[in-house]
Amino acid sequence: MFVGPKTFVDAAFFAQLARTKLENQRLSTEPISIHGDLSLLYKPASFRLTEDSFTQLDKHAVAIAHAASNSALEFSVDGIITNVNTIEDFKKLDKQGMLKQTLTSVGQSILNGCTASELTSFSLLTFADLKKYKFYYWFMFPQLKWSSTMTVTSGNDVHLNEKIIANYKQTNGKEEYQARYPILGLTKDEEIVPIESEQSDKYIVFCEKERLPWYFPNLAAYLAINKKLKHAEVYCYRNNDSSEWLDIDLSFDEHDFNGSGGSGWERNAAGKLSPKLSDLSTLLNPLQLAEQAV
Amino acid sequence: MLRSTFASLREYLTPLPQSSSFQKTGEITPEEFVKAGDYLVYRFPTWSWAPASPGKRRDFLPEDKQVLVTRHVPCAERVVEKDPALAEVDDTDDWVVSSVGATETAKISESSGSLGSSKSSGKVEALEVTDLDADNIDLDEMGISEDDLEDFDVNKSKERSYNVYITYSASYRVPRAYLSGFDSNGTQLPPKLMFEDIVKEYRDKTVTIEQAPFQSNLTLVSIHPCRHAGVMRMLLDMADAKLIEESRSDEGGDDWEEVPGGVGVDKYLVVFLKFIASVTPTIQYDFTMSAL
Repeated sequence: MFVGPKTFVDAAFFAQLARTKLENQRLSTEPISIHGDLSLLYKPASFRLTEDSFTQLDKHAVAIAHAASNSALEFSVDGIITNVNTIEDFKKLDKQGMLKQTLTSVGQSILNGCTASELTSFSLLTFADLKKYKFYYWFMFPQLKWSSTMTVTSGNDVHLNEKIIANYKQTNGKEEYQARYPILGLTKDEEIVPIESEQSDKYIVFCEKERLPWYFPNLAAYLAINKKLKHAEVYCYRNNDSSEWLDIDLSFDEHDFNGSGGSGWERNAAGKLSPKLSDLSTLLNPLQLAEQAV
Repeated sequence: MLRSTFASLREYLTPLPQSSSFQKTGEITPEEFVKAGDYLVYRFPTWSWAPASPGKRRDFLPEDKQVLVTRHVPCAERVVEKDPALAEVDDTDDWVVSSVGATETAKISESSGSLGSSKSSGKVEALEVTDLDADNIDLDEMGISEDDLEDFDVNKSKERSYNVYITYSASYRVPRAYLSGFDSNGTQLPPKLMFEDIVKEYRDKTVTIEQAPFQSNLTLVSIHPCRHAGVMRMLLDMADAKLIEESRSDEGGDDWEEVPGGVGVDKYLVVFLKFIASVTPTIQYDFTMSAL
């Protein structure tokens, strides 16, 4: 019902991972913070990890990157990478347990009051075979269990679309405006604010065409548990005038809620729950590069 | 390096007057490149400008307009499958030799001796990127059954996608296109496999493997710009002719003196893309406008 994006990993990301592993991480398998680029322009939505995914970009660089982007439907999404040391570790690691742990931590941050960053987060498990330039990886886009109901109340709201675009244009490329997340709040006066703002009255979720993203059930949990709402109005903003207003009847038991139910591991191109392998020997291996570079 | 630095410096200091030379020579200035890029981005939201990596910035282009990019353009089939006449894939061991610029074949032949056939076949095996079993990952332990595994192997999707970058070549004064391909799992394709999506005629002559000039750690295939200007001049002439033809038939031929000087420089990249699309016919670019 709620879908993760289609993932793309640049070779440059893995090159950066290899460098980080050798120079900073060494044998440590502590998770590190990274970020990826989410584009909701098309269906399926695409999610990219690039060379920049490891760097905490300075405000100026973020502003420049934003200014260059062409659409209100492109976002930066925060996540963590856990890079294990051996292929055996990669295989043996308890995937179910890892999912549960991630969902619990999303649940915890909802209880403690979080921003859109925690609701839209992702997690990446990798093993980097640095001798063979092979990278095993598996994405997780944690989504809490959905137990609410929703109905479409009305379609495309031209007036609100204009506000969203105006807000995007106004903040785009400004150094003071750093974070750009696909969930926003809307005040009674129709001002666009971050979701954690106390003035938010309704909510805006940016979605790919036709489908609802993995962070949608997380938002529902947030509204029910953190904002203590029984009912919420959410506007799904999409490309090509297919946006719509949804009415959600939120059903979460505050006392039972720990966030541990849900799903998240990415399926491969064949629709199976399985890790992916990127063989970059011809792209990164200096010896092979030397052969190609004649 | 020195030459291109000099060339770019020269261009920076003495830019050509706008629209002066492109119709005669097919070449454009960095300013014209930016203008044409703005038009492309405006007309086709799939394209956007991007900044360069730190240290890769080129001064003659604005900081946030270093390179044009469109991502994840679908490519459902290989050139060789679409029209075998367009591409005979030479899959012998010295594939690399046949794929690099013809003028350099001699040089490569020497070095290809070191490739040895056994090593080459090893390489080919390693390229089976979706074949997890090849490296003995036990999928059972991942909670995946044997049936799934069979499915997984049979279901190798041919659906690829490409990121296409266009930057400005200072030495040739034309735009230059770079391609970066991904398989259906979203992992980056090696150049060797990307060649499958390029028409054989170009693959043999003018397609090269390059490090991206605007980003570190990015290996791309690129269509070498040495003949772009000539091709562009020809395509622009064709577009002009078509334009004049159309306006004649529209206006009854009376005031064709008022026809502006053909296709404006702002549409240069739209025409350029048509050219790139002819080199990579299976990549499904977004053409919602007919310039040619």
